[in-house]
Amino acid sequence: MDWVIDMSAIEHSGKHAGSHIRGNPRVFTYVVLIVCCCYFLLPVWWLVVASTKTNGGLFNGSHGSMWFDSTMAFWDNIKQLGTYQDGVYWRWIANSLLYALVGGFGATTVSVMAGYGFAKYRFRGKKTYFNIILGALMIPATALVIPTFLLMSDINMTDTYWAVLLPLMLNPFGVYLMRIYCSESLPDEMIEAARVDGSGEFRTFFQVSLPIMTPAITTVFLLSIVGAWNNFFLPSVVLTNPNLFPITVGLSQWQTRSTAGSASEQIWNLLTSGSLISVIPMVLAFIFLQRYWVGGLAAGSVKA
Amino acid sequence: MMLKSKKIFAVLAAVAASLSLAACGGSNASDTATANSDKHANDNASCTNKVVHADAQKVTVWAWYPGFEKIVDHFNNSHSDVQVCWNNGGQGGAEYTRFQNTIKAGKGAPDIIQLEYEAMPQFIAGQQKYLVDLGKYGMNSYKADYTDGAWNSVTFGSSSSVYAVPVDAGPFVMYVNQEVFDKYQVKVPTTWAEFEQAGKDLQAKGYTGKLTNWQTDGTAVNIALFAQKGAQVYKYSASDPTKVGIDFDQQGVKDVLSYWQKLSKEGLIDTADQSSTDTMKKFGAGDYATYVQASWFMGYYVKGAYKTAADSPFKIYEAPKWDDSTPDVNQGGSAFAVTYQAKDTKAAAEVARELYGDDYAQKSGVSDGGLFPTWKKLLSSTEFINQTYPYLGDQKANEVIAPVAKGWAGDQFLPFQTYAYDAQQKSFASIVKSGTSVDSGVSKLTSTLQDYAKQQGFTVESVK
Repeated sequence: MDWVIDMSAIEHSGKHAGSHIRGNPRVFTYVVLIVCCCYFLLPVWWLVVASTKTNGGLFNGSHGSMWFDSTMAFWDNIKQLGTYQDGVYWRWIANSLLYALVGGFGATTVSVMAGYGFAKYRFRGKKTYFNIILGALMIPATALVIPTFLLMSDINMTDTYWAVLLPLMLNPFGVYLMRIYCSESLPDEMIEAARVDGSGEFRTFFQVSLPIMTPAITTVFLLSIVGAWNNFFLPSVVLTNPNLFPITVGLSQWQTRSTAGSASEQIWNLLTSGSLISVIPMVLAFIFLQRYWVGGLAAGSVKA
Repeated sequence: MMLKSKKIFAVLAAVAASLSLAACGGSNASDTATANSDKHANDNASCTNKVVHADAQKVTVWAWYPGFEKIVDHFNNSHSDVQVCWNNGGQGGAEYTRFQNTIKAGKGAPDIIQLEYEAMPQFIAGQQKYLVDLGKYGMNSYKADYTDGAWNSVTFGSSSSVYAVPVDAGPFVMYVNQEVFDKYQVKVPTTWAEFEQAGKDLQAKGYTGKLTNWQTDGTAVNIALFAQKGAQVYKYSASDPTKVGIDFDQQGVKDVLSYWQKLSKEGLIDTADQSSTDTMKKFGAGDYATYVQASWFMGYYVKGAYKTAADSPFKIYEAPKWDDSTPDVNQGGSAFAVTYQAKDTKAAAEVARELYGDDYAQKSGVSDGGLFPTWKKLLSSTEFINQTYPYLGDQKANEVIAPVAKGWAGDQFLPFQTYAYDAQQKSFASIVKSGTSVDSGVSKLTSTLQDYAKQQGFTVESVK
């Protein structure tokens, strides 16, 4: 908001001579943004450049690490990704998509329903249950990985898709966010009105409440997808069969393969090109979902 | 407000309590490795490889050897009664953590597991043995097949117990950048005294790189360097698993560390991490005239750092010696152990031995996996000795390496080797890089590790 006011101030004051000092905040903003941009994009640029190099080129190429080598090996790397270890790379990408979509969808469903319930219904032990969720929010997920592994092992579920999917479905932060959003943006009166009009609880939920919750749902969905896509530690512990790996665990296994001592294989080129490709789905997810997300949140804030 | 936060704490406490319960729950899972004989327990195991004979009994394996899929296929094609079901359980530390987790859970471990020699004591320490004594399954009659060093590394001083089947090793040699030595007309050193002089000569004649890199994180390299001076720093025996020996406070260790400290002070050497890509870059750029390392270093750096084999200026020489009595030493290597959770212990013991137990598998290990064998039959074969290596200018490198492999006597490691390596790394880095006093450094390191051993419930004994 401040920024908008400054803009108009600049336009007005521009007519008077010698008042350019007022333009400085704008320059400053640009400088900060450009610096931030470089800071965040530099590693991405490196990744783009590195994905076009051969293994030797990565270490011994011409033009340094921030520019392209004389031999362009991008397509060659992609081809190798399709053949190395029988093309397991694409299987990992598919697995990651599965974990992200199913896990994200499941987490969102659970969060929306639980958050709505916490916000709109009164039941025994409501406060206690919500406090448990708050408590779960404070325990880092990493700390729960080994207990989760032991539980999964007890029910013979390690080394299955479920070992990764089930823990993903519980997202305490999502529940928390949905509860806050529901109590702030979803008027009790509206639900009352729907009930008076004879709508059942499910119909009220699906046809009255859900549309209003869309922005928050998108947010939770996006966060869950990103969380599931970047999920590393849990799958690395509960999975042994490489055919079930998500891309994060697969790439990390390739990395240790390249650095580990005894008779290692050098596949740095596959790591860089593989990492680049693994970033693309998340970039797409942000581009397509951000309009709902940002637009929706703003709409919510105006109404509130 | 107070009430609320109290409640939250109560919840947290409850969760924490259940966590610690879960953590404890599994730790009393086993006592000593016992024999099992369930032939069908692995019928539904998921494998990375294809099983050729679907009806046959399956034995599960975790291994990370490069080219291991060929070994598995070869085994499954040549056996109809038993099939290998292989997965990569992670490499080195990652796999050991995973194995520890399955030990806690009491299930989920493979029948056969690849372990480095230095990682084995942690699984056979104390009262709980997680590795099966293969001596009970006739492994002792194959003793003559393997080099002494490899055999000693899996028997832990016992005459009857064998805890793993040796596969590969890392004979300690010197990689020499031939172009640098030719260009400045300096003789390739054969002793550590000549080594230092070569560094000075190269520098005097205008070479801008370093003589070598003393790796700050080269934990196992140091063990090999000490062994050259006859200094055994660790002692551990499976027949007396509650005792450990730790001693860095001996002349051999002090001599070696003083030597490297001196080279570092003279500015002859670099002191960078081995496991950094930056070091690999320097290596490829010709910034190191030599690299004293295990023979597997070829796969690790040499292939990684050069675009084509012809670009590599390196050749393999014998590691520099102190004098004529300097022994051949080794750095690294691994073996197949059978776990206490093996579904059919006897079958697993046989498969562990047979995986690399024939000519095809041994040769494939060398050519597809880049492993250095511990199998005497291959080590002595003319084909192996005459093998040329493109990354070493078509050198017949095994002429140099094979005698080292045969001469190696074996090393001992601790049941808490990771902790020991960490302490070792801190101490040596401050001695060589920052010039801390050698005497006080090694005595402090010794007492640190001995105290830790006592805390862990071990009795500390002399290393001799």
